[in-house]
Amino acid sequence: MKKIFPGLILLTILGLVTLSFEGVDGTYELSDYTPDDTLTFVVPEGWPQPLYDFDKNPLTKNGIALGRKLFYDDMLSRDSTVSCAFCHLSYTNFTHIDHKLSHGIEDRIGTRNTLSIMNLAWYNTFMWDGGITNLDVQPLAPLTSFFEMDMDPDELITRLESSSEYPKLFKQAFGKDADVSGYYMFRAMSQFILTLNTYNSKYDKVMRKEAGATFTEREQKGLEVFRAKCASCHKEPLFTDGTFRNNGLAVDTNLNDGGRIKITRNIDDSLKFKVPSLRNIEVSYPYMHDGRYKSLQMILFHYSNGITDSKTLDPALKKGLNMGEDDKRNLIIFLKTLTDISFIRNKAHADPNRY
Amino acid sequence: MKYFLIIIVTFFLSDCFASNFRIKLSHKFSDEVFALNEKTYTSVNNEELTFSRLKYYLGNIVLNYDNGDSYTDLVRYHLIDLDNPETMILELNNVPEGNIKTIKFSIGVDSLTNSNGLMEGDLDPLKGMYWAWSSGFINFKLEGSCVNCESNKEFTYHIGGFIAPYQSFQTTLVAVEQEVSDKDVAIEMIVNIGEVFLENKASLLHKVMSPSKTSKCFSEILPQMFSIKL
Repeated sequence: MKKIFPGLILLTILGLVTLSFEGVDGTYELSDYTPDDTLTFVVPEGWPQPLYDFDKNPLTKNGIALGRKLFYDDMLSRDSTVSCAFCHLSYTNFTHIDHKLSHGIEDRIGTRNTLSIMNLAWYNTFMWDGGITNLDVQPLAPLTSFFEMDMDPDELITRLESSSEYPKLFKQAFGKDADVSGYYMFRAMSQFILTLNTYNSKYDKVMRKEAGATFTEREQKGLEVFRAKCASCHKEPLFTDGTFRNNGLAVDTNLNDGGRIKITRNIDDSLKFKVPSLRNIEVSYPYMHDGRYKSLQMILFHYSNGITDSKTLDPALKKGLNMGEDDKRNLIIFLKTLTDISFIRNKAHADPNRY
Repeated sequence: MKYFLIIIVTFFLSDCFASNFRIKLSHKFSDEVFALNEKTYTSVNNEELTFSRLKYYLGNIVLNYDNGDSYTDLVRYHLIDLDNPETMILELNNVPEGNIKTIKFSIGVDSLTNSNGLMEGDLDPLKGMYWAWSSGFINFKLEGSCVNCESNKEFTYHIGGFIAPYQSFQTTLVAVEQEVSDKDVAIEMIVNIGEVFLENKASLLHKVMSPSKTSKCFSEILPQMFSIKL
């Protein structure tokens, strides 16, 4: 069944056709391509400089709009049933809650838990094993994975070229010579993804000393536990140090996932996975690379009592994290201050066919 | 006057450059013409092989002259795809006059380009020559089937990798005797796929699909495929 596109109105005024989306700020128009129409990427106060090279792909309103449309388009999967947003839902921090492993077309199930999409301008490795080293080529993985969208690249280009909307949208985003291609498609997707930034949680407001923002006593104690026990890997403000570590999970003998060793072929990387960010962790369950834990309580039990030793186990976890029950409760209360409602409810991030 | 100017300009250009230098790639399996999905070829190890895909990057072409000069192709990388006949002809423009003695080129994509992120044209990640799971180009892709193998008939060779110790980027030099004057030049480069199966047996090596020692060793065979028909 073909989806209707209620937000899209085709206007023909004085021979100029403009596409109109109902964005979060009301309706805005996609104008003709103007190379100087670039947007400035905001770096929050106290944050490091982003790693993404914006000079190679400057953000524009039209580029972001094209990326957003692609992100929500089922046509990008082989049988046109799933879009990127199928596993990366805006209102659950761009991950797929209640799904341990990624879910693709024909109910195929992948081998790893869907990672959240947020603050990706500050990363230079992607996926649980860091196999992808550039944000612009990241979407190629789910697009072509048998377990996910299982799309043939040539067929994808054919579909986009024969669409009534895309060829024009590519030109509006990248200029009159921009034909439909992977090059422009991936740039547009990056542009949309680079707008998915979260730094307005209660934690952020307290750190910025915003008026009225204060931690409760338990939140403050939780922050102290966090800084003592967790922050060396889950480094502020991104809540990850971007490294790959073995955090002592017993090997799932069905999945037999060696993690980063698959990429580096270095035995020292066996069972190592990316340290994920903890931002919006409250709405990102289940947890770990294979989604084995449903709750924050289970994670803390793992770190205090459930560490499995092995050659590559992170040294900081050799004895487990020594936390009392009160520490754990306070820590969980603190972790919930990382939830950024303005991020997960931002309509500019949501399905453009609906908002 | 207009015609006179055109004649002068044409004369000037033709005095300095060959208007067109063409390298035509002729794919062979030993002495036979190589084609996908059609013929069965017999390797030196008596394996009967059919092929369904051959794609590879050829790039960084440099023509070396007898006087020490050289000419570098402006197009950095060409994707050769046996399913797409027009990719079998490489056009080099404004090649200077002289005697070309050798042609230097690479098979695959260099590490710097691999680290460059997203690229256009023949290097577009949607060309099927970019690994989705571990960023980097596939330099050489050969797929097919061994008809008389007992089991595991299919073979899939995706050769790539740019990070030490598994770099599979190869550069080679072929000898040629070619004079370039003011006329178009076309030379034929033989690409003998049979070379891949001199020591390698499809019955033993079914899959190479990630950067590894095997992949690196495989890439070292690839330059042997190329020669110029003198």
